[in-house]
Amino acid sequence: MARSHKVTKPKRQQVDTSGSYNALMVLMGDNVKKAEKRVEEEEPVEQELEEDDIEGAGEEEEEVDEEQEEEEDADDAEEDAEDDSETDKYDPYKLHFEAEEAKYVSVIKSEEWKTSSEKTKIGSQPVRITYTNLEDADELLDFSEAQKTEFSKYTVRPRIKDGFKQLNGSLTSVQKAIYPSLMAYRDLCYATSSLSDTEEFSRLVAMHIAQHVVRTAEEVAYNTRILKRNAEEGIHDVEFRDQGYTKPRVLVLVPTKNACFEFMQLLVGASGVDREDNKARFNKAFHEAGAVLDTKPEDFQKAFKGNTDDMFCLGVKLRNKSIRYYSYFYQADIVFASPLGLKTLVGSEGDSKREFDFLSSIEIAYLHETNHMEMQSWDNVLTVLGQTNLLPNESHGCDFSRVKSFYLDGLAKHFRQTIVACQFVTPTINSVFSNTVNFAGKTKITPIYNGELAVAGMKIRQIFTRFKALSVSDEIDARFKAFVQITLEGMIRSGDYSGTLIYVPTYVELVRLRNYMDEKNISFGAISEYSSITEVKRHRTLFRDGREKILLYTGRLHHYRRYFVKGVKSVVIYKLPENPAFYRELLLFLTHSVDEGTLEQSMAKCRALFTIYDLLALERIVGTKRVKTMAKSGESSYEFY
Amino acid sequence: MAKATEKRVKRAKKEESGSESEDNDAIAQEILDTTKSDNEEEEPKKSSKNYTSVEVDESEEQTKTFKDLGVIDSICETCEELKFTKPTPIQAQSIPYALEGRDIIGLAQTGSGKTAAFAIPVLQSLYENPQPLYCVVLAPTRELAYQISETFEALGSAMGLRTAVVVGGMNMMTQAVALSKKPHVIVATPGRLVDHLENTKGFSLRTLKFLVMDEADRLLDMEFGPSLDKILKVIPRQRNTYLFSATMTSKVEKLQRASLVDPVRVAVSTKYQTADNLLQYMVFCPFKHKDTHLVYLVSENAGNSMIIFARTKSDTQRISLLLRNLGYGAIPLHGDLSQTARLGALNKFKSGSRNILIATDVASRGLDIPAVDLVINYDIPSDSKSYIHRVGRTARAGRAGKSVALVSQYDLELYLRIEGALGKKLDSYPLESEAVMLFSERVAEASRAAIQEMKGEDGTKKRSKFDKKRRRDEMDIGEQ
Repeated sequence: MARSHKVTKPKRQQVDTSGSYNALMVLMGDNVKKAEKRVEEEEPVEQELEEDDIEGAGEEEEEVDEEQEEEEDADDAEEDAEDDSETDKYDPYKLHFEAEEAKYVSVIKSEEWKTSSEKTKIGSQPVRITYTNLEDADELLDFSEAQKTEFSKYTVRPRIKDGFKQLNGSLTSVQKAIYPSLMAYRDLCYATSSLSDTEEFSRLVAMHIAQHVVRTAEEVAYNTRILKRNAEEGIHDVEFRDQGYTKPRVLVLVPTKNACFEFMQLLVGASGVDREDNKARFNKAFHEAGAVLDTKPEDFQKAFKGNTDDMFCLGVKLRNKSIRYYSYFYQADIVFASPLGLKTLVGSEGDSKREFDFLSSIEIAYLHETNHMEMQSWDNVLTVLGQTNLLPNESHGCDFSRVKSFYLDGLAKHFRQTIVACQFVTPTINSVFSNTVNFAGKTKITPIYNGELAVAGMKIRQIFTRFKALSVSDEIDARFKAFVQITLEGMIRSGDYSGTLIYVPTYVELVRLRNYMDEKNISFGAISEYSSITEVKRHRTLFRDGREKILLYTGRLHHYRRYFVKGVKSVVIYKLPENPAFYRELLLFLTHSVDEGTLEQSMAKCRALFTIYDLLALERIVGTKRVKTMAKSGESSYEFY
Repeated sequence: MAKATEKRVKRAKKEESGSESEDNDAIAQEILDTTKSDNEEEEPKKSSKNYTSVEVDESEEQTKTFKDLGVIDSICETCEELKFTKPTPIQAQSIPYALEGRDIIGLAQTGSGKTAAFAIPVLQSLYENPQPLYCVVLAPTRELAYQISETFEALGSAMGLRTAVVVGGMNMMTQAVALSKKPHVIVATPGRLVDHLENTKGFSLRTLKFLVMDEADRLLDMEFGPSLDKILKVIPRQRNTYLFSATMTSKVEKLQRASLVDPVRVAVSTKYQTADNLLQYMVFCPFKHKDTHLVYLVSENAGNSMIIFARTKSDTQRISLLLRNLGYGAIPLHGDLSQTARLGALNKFKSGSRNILIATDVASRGLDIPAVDLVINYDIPSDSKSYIHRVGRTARAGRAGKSVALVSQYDLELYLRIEGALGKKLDSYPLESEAVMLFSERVAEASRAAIQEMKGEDGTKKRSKFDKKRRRDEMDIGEQ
């Protein structure tokens, strides 16, 4: 595995800056020694970081003839400019990023968000589409016009258009529903449990990213050429505001190396590049053959295929004809990273070495397979997003005369497009998505659910009990209380509770229940994502054989392993799983016992607690239709067969 | 004493140059010169000048209005709003020449209205020909830079003026951003401006039309010379340059020759010791009772705003703690404070929420504090120039003021030197020593507590930090 030569480049720059600092000190007739000391102090820190093994982090740029590349880009840009002028194209980029200052400022300041939603169908899948808009945002970019405009009328670089066509064919129904929001730089949240829909969505996103990166890079190169010519002729009054503080414009957060690799294939395909630099090295580090057991569910196979390393950061430079992996961050166009890998670079408050300047000018942030990242650690995602679009600490060679004015005014986050692709929307995703401030507005597409009640193929009693929680913060204690009172005590009193599987979402809830049951002398087994494999094996066996009557089982363990737990006679759900597939699988544990003959069908039962704060998860389990009647406050029980 | 000296306008054509017939640092001489010119003596100092020269006495009544000087209406209105009713002498003399497009050398002290004297012509020119990156003002200290930018902003508010302050000790990136927003006026300390010229890509002063050097003598004192040279090299030769200085040293003259073209020299002879409104006293006391005497003076003048000058930072810190322990609203101002803390301290004092400022010489010059009733010299400054500047904090703009110097047995020599420079003996401050000694016990206790507090917060770590910072404030203090 390639060791990362952490920030060799910045080191050089630091010496540079301290050099000029020295010079200044000399000018002031001051002692220079101190400045030297500063540099010395910093070096050990870097060595420390060199040992850190974040795959792909801060690679040093190999010898590249930047100027020649820029020239090529400028040539391409000139050609394209000719192409573009031929037809009347629809170009949302211009409307969004080159909006008139007075207008966007007034739109941003209004802060009046309006929401409307509609039910429609994408293909055969009924969906709900929610639009959230700022008042008057239409004056900048009329979204209805974006929707009316055909895909072929949008400005797309010819090479990308061809590449995308080859990769994708003509637009699918999913893509048709999405392209106006995506290409009009609206925030977009797309939830679907269908793998093929996800794939189609990703392809379109890859095309959009490629288009954004290539067009902006070419514009910069083209303008540089003009400036150079002007300088030769002694003209100084032309200026271009065409870039951010730092080069990277796109941030792609992916959970695993394999996901990164797969998305990269789409990007390469969609951008239609001829040349891939460092390809062998990238493939070696990110690609790994080998499938997951095919007995596991489909979405699990997809999520854990190939290289599941979740510690990497990768700078990618994308140009009209070539793509380069392992580009130095401050020269890259796209930063691919796992939340953990990027968080390690970004660091947290008080760390001696933090590096997040390269996130200052992100214009598109794409969260890929978001639910998986949620299971990894959502905090990392929040940290990383929190450090985007800030003023960098150092200039990193930025040409300030070309920085776009909305960066200078600190409004960059109002321009950033955030794209979230997920299987299902959870409260955490919702909170991130509703806190983005892109003035173009947002589009959220969620499926309408039929529910998972009938999927067991067998009549199973399913009881949903609503408890009362006054607020989100109160919910945790109220749930525990309700669980103990309604479920646990009655269960223990009845005496017959062998084969009870208690599903808790995370380790935190597991610990609380474990402590309580220890206190009450109730014997049980508990397995979580922190248990060793032997421990898990032992408890599963004991539970299957009926020697342990209760098994506590966490949702995160299920996410990472998808065990098939045997010997289940009753399922108790402490908190509904966000992933409806988990509920389906919990029911399958019961049907399996029935099939095996260890459980009478009439005795099989699944009990769940819920509150009004669980409606998103509940909707996916009982279906969109039923959830409405269940969405009330107060206590009540619902039984389904 | 305030007899209006007649205005002497002398126009001498550019004839010979290279006249370095000037004594370098005869400060006392300088002061004596100025006092002499008050007394209507013959033409002092600089025998050979290769420029138009105008001299005027500060106390002279101005009969002209801004409009008479040729200032355009919109700026006149702003002046009225800001209560600048009449031009001060330096403004009256320099603005007409400046509006003609001449370069200006101004010899004047802070408080004489010189900031507006250069701001108004710059703004007027900018008004007629709006363009970003129009003017650079160089100032020796951060505080002064902020004050200048405030004046510019106030005067230019009607025309939507944008200014940027670029000084050391603040975030380079924020400043780079401010510069790339293309301000009309940049107020800067030379070192940091050079830093930006060298390191901030995309920033240049190619279009500059005005250069103002404020307190040029201090700029040069603080070894900003090389930075100034660098700046002069990269800005266009086609420009107007204003140079303001308190004294005309040979260094300043060299700078003037290097940067100004056919300048008009406007000298305002400030009277340092106007007997009518500044009462200067001294208190002779034993060293060990210095604190007691100080507290007595403070308590006697309680309610008045005052500045106490001390020589060292730890003294300022100690005295402010001491006074606070005794219930007075005291606030220290010295170089160990961060930039924001300094501005904060100054603002608290300005707004009147604290009325005792204890300062090192950082604050002795360049700060425009509107009304101080009393200046106490806890230590006698080592040179008479500093003394003049310290007591110059009070009795400004025609108001009455008092200054008291605490002289201990160790300060005697310094004090005598100052008396010599002033050319007069100071009265002793009327106090009853018995009444003073009543304070001694409480003061001793408060002093002990103060020292204790200082030790408490002064760990070894902090010490090392202080050492680091020292270097930077030395440029503010401008010690010789």
